[in-house]
Amino acid sequence: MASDSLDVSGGAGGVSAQYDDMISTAAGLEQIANGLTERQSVIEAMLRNGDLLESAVLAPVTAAQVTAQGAAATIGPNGLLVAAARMQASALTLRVSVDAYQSLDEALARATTAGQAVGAPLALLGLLGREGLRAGDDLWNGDLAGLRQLPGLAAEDAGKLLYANPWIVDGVITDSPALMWTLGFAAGPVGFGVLSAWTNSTEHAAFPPTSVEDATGDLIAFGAGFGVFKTGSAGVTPLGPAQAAPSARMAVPTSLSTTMDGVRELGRQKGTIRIFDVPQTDGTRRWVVEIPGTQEWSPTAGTNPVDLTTNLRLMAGQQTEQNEGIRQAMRLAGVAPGEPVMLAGHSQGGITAASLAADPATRAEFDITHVYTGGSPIARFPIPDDVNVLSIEHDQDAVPRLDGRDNPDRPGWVTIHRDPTGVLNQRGEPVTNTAQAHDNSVYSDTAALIDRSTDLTVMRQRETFQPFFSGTGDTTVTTYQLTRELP
Amino acid sequence: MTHRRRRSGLTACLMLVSLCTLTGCGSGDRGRDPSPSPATHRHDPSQAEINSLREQLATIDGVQSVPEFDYQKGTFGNGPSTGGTFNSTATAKQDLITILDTAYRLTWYRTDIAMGDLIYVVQNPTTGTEVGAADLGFDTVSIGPRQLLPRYGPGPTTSAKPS
Repeated sequence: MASDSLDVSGGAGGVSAQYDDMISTAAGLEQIANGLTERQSVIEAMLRNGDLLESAVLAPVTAAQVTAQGAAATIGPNGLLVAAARMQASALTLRVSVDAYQSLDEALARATTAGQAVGAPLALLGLLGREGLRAGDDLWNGDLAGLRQLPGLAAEDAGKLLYANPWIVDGVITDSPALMWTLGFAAGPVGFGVLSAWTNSTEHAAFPPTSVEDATGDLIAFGAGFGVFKTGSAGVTPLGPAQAAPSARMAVPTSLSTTMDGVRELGRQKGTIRIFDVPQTDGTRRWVVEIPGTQEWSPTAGTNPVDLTTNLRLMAGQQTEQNEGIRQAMRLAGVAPGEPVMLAGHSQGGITAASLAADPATRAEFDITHVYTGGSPIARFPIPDDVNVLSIEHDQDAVPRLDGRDNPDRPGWVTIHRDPTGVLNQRGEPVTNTAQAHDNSVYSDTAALIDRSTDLTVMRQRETFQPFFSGTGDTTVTTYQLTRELP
Repeated sequence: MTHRRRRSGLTACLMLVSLCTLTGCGSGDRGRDPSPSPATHRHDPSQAEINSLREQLATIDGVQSVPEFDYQKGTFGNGPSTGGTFNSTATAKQDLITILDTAYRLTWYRTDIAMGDLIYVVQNPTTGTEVGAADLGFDTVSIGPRQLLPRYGPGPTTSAKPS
């Protein structure tokens, strides 16, 4: 049964924001305590005033009363000094609590990562064992027909395993550097040395790896040795109306769901992106850049940069022809410094968006203020805090887990999770496997839920995106054909 | 709605337990269903089926020709999609909308094939009038099963029903 329930993390209601609120409250208490301490000094100075001391001779009772009241107001049990001390203590308690909570969070995160890293190989071994038992049983019974079915059944079981236990992907990714080390050791001392020398001689690669990015870079370097994952330069061509595909109408981004619809429509013209110029009522301009998901899965790099090679390079933390092509297209579109830009994409499109938003050179040229992704593993990109990020991740979609960690929990970054089981995809099938959970039409469906959500965190984040969807109504669009020019 | 906390190590352990249950932990659970379930999915259309649909749509009352009709097979994460342009001599916008509505309905009722997202445009080339999904009340130009099912129902023989 399709679920309309959304799980929200990060943003204004996120843990990080609550910690920030606690720290702010502590700072406020400390400020008030300091103010009270200053007032106490003023009262003490008044009590030591020469005129008051002289008046004690003429009116000793009154002077005594004044002195007693002054003392009560300063050093008494309800005096300023005690109140200030209590506030300081409360502030200290808040700060210590935040530290404790954060330490606990970090410990839990480490435990989770460790659990997944250990659990993933065990799970896969369990699957292998199960299939091995099947094969043995078939051999014992001489069931050759059953044996022939085994690969299909194994794939089906693997799919079910991942759908029910998507965290296995996190574990595998966490284990990827260790896997590279293992491969290196398996190659023996000489092989290890050759691999290391070969890999380290290529740009952006380090062997043995110390991070997931390194491991991905190594994979690219190994592949390059076999003629795959090649790189080239970026080519960009603006497409006029005559060059547009049949029925190439497009969804103008008026909401999160229509923006995801627009990203999906890009699939009708391979290798294209779209840039929308959204004039605002105050005379300024905003821009929406729609970036598609992976279109080519061959490891051999071709002219369409929306491919597997770009995926790997992005996950290795590298800039790609797709990134450069988008920058060139933005220049051609006339995106000026200081004009807010929203980058939106599904799958690889979202990774590209995050990569551009995290790239200092891109940010120096363009004011990327918003990133909107569906089904994209972007947790590892150092997107600056002042960029508003909205990430949609389906629970059973393996792709957004390929970064092996959760998205940061911070005020400007909202991640929305959903179990899409049962939602109809573009083929008219209810979602039951991890590939269907990654379908961009299912992400559009979730985006429509987010458009209607009354969750306060979602509403606040959605408000920051709204200016890109409204404007004066005179939104214009240009489609750009991006290519990879191979040497 | 709830605010989710990070997955904890305990959760990971519980997941492992559920995993053991799923895999039978090598208990020898066969798990093989000897009677495969009946086909419940629309299949990707062959070129002959695409041509057949195009010819069928060309017979809609008021349609003069179908100058564009292309189908794109889906890939991982991207479902299939179909673009079609229908020429008509009808001058009233409502007549063009009726043709568009019929084209969407007939396509959806081909319940054996998966056409994916449909971007259909009906136009009168002489007057320049054209209509698309937005004229049927949708907020996007391409509509797919999620919009077609509630509008036209499951179709005469479809087995692709939401659970």
